[in-house]
Amino acid sequence: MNAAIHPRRADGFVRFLSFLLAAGVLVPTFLVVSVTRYIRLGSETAALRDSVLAVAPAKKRVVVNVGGMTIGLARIICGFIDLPEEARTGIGAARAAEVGVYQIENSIPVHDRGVIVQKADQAMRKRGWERIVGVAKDQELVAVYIPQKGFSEKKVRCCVLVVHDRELVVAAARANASGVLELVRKQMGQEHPLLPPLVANL
Amino acid sequence: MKRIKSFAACLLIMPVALGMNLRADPVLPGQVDFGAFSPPGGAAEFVEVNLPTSLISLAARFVEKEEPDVAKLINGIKAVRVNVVGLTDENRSQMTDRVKSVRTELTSKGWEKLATVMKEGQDVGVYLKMDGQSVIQGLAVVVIDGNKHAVFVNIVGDIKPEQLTTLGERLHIEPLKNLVPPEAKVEK
Repeated sequence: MNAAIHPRRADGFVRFLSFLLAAGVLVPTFLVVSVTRYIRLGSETAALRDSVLAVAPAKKRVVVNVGGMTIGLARIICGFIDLPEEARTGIGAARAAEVGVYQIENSIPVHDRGVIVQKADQAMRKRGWERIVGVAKDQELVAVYIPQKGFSEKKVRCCVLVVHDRELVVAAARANASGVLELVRKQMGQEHPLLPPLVANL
Repeated sequence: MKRIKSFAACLLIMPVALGMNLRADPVLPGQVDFGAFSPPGGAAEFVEVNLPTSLISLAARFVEKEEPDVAKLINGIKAVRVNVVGLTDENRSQMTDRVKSVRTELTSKGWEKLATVMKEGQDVGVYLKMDGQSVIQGLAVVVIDGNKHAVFVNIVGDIKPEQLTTLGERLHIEPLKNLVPPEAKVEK
């Protein structure tokens, strides 16, 4: 008496079940990944952090990672708000930004600053980045990296490592500098912003 | 079988060849290899700036409307490297030797010594790499400032001698500001 299930209906049921399963797995996975991305550093920034952690253990205090979608949303919202030109240009230029703040457990010995820079350089070079600035004085260390290729006015990317006493900050940003360029041009004085007086006291 | 072997050989050789190609940074005429520096111990300062062409071009865009001449000058620059290393008891003799060896190397490689200033413990040497008579391919400033720090500056690019003073003003390189360009020197 068993009525045979029609093969087409069975196919449809299987498809529906697979869809449900996929939705049940994919949607939460997507949500988890999306949410955790806000509190996880990107590959380059994490590499910079790890170069310090290899020398001095540190505890995480804050990590924020704002991607293109969030900034795009912010840009749309800003369209409806009356904002100063500088803020509007800044948000318009930004594409992504991330920052991580860590508390170093013990002060880094001064002779280890070189090791940190070396490790950071190695890690970043593997990823195709080069250091353009390195400054170390007393308990402070600053290193700025940009990609070796694909750096242009419309695609500005940089990673920064700052160690200040027992505080470690790693950050990265991606931006389209065209708008900022126009703004800076309007407000700039005589001094050149990218070439600071590094050897002024010679 | 032969094809498979040669294909496998290609697969093996390709990454090596590509890797070599990536690592072989072309040395520009006028570029000086000061070697690697690392932060000294103690409270001594350490500054390293290494500006590639892409960043310099971006910098030129900032000034091209207001100061087209300066933008042209900056656009001619291909690389800028600055190293300031604070001197400590540990690295003083090493840095002094490094300064001497860089100067010797520059002289041996045909760089023209433009100025030597010795004043109040400062020992400043300015060197130029000329392409013929009209264009400077590279500029090097090597300073040992008494017991304070050693400074190494290298600017690579096509610079006209008359632009040297502007370059000194723009990049805040004091010894270049009051420099008499080589051509003017010859005329005198």
